[in-house]
Amino acid sequence: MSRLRKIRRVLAGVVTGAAVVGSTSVALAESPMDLRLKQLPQRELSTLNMRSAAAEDASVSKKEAPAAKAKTSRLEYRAIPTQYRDIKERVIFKTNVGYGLDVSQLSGNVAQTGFAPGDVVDAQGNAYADNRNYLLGDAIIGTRGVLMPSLNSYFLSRFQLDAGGGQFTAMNYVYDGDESQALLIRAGYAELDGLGGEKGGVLDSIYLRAGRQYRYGSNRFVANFDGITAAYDHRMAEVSAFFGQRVSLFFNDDPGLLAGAGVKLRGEEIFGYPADLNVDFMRYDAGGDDAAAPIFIEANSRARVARNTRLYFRGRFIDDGTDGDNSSGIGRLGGQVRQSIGDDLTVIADVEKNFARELAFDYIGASPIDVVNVGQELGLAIGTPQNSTLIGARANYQLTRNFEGYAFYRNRLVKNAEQSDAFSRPFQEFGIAGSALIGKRLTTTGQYKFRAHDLDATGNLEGSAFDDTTGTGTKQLHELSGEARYNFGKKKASAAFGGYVRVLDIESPYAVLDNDGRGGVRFDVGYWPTSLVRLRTTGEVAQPSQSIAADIDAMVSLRVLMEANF
Amino acid sequence: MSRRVLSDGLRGGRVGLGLPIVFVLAFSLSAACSGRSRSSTKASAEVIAADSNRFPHELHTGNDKRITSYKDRGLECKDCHPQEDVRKGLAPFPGGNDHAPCDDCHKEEFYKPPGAFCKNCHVSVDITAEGATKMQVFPSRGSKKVLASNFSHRDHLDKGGMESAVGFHLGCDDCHSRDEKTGDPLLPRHDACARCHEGKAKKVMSMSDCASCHKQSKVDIAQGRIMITEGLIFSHGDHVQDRAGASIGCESCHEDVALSTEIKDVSVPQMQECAKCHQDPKRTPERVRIAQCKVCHEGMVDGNTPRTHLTGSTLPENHNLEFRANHAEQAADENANCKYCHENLSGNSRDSCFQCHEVMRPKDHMLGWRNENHGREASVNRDRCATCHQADYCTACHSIPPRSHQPLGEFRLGGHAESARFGLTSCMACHTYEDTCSRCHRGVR
Repeated sequence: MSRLRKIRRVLAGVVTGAAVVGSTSVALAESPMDLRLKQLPQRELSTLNMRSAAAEDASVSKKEAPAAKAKTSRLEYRAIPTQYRDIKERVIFKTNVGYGLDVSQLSGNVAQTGFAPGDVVDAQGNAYADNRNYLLGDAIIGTRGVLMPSLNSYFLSRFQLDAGGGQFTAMNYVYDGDESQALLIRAGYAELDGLGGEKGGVLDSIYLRAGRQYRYGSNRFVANFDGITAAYDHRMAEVSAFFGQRVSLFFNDDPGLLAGAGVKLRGEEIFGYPADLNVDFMRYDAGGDDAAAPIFIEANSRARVARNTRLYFRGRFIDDGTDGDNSSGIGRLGGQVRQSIGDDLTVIADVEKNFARELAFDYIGASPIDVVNVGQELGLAIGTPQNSTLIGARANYQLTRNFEGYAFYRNRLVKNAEQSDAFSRPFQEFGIAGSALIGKRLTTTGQYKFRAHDLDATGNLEGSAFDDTTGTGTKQLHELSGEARYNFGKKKASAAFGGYVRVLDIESPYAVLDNDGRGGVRFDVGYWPTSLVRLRTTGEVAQPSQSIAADIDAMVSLRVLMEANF
Repeated sequence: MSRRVLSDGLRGGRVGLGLPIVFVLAFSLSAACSGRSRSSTKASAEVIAADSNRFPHELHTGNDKRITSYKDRGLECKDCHPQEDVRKGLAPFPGGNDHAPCDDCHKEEFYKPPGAFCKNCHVSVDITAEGATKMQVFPSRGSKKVLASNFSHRDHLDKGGMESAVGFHLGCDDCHSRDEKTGDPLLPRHDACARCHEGKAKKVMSMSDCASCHKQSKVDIAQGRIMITEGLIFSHGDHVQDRAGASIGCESCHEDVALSTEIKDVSVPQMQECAKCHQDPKRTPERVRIAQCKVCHEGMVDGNTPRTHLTGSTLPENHNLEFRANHAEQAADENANCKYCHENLSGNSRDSCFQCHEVMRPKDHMLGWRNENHGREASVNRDRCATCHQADYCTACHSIPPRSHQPLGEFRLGGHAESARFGLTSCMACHTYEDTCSRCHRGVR
């Protein structure tokens, strides 16, 4: 080492040492600090070990001074992904395009109801058509972090175009109608997941979504709307609000406006305890001068009380927006406990109490009577909610590595059964199911289900109320179903074949049907010419009830689809 | 029926106008905002945080006057990386010799107290303890290699080409020697290259011609690693033999390496490659099977194996029969990981049921479902319907007179009697006594 270098090293040591002493106020009175470097920097060997990004970040951030930390830059962001893997990770694309054919030929028989569709024409003068064919498909496009890191988008749609056949047929589908529209957009929105700034900061925690979207309440109210959702998503809690025009996806009624808010509290972050509480509020204004504006408040909570035990609670409060005495109250309360016993057994117990205040169907069909304008069009006049309690239990057991069993039971207890109708009668249901993996590629499943409704025989007596349906409906149901699926390898090919049989005992004030059977078989064959494309053919043959629909022969459905997936 | 419009879709008017407006709003907000985010790309945008310019090679190889005037001939590679050392694979990083030759130009910085300049090379400078002054990892994770080697695995693994060019061929271990302690393969140093490129392959590419291999390229060495967001535990040394004792070749995991012509082509193997062995009981024991998350992922005690980690038709272990029938609670969970497998999902935890159920019908929704069965099921589980179907979906169908109602005139007059005898419940699905029956019937049977 040259003399000049030695001098420089000593000078550098003195300067460095002085700085350290000055900044740390270390006492140097007795033994002067050895300011010579004890070790020259060593080269670190580079290995092919994959380093943890998070771990490396942490190690750097612990040691680096704040000033240097601020200079740390991020991986350069690409607004437009150009590499295959990057595109695959940031772009979601899936579409199905196909052709469907439904056939339901007349049997030539007259149904027990006395109806023979071959002899009549519908209101438009169309004779019965025994087939219809159509084009169908769906398309899903989503992006994550394209154009800017926080920008996501999602589009979900499906379409169905009649290619031939008639509307007066046994194979009705929801697209029927004079003004049927083929394209249905279920969702189409853009969202900003963070507005910049420091990670975890206020701006970074703001979330905005605009477009056609949907929102699930804590107790499963489902709101489709065109509008905006804004949220502040902190690690401990999320507060959100939404507003928009309800989307009437299938019916041209007045969609109305809806608005709401929600809070999520994350117990793990707040208390260190694995429990969450979610509360949602929504107000729906159906529009019109006389329309009520109901309010719904829903809540649920989930807690992991032990490693293998989870508890769920849920409830719903309803104010129907009228001034009546009984216009508001609790609609339902429920809970569930889910317990894993060992690695193989899972047991779930459910209980739910429904009150007469409960929704008839959802927030649109809140009333059991007048879902839409009954005076002009038929409504969805499902039964009035009753005070009832539904209890249930389920157990899933992995008997062997390749075989599992499942059993379930439900029982609806109705407080004033004599006031109920066919939609809210007490019932009991139990069933068993099994699934077996045979070899590596053949999976078989089978299920048996039995259900018994507690019909009220007095409701069928002469002189009982005309609309008394307490004695009407399914008395017993037996269902047996099964499927076998052979998989030739992931994204190579698969073939499935399955079938079901349902046998019902049906009663009404005027008729009794015992052992009324119906059933069907189906197949589903898929083949991937490439990992991105699947060709799929599904078919189904079903035999309707020969008591209720003796006029119809076997129904056949065939669909040929091409699925592209990215 | 003329009022009836099925689905709003792209139809003009109220909804058709609203949709574009909110989109424009959303994109306007996008344009107004910038910076980092918590988006689903945070794995790529945030977790990998490193100084991509810890040592700015481009500043030392460019046309800056301070570079071109160095020793009146310009700064050359060998000024910082002595050729002899490079060929031996020793001290390729400059500065090890008491900061020479960096102090030729940056002399004043070395007379200052430790500061930002030191962090170009050191994690920190601490002279009070032996070994406390550590080097930065270089190149840092997430950075770009400005002078990455222009290396073609394809050319070097082409046995025929190598034989004809230099008379021998190479295997992976010829360049990637193993760490003696861990058994991990090391990135080859210059001495590995020099074994050939100072000898038989010198005429192809000489070690003294740095630029022939190290071209300005800005290779993103993080490419392909952006999905590794948890601490990944992996040891090449543990992947020498499988359970049966068969050797595990490099190409078992690095399938495409023999085809890569540039360093940027070499990416981390995808999980399906791992799953080929870690799903196969003949090759791996149960304790390292793919479902044991914690074997590879730090801090991940349990979880469901994503489909991307699986092969064949294997379902995640929690997708048992019970789950397939009742998964609402799990799917609604903020931490639900459905998105890893179900490719039609947006990936946002705020979304759930629709995105799957819109394209995956429940298995019992078979041909007879709409015709005969759905009402009976709805009567015992109305909630299940409401998960996907709003009331307007039901109304749209229930407003169409079924085939049994044709011709409607006859049906009204008396043709409905037999139908009602067998299906009074069906009648009451759409009608109420008050709105329909009471027009003719008395209130009792």
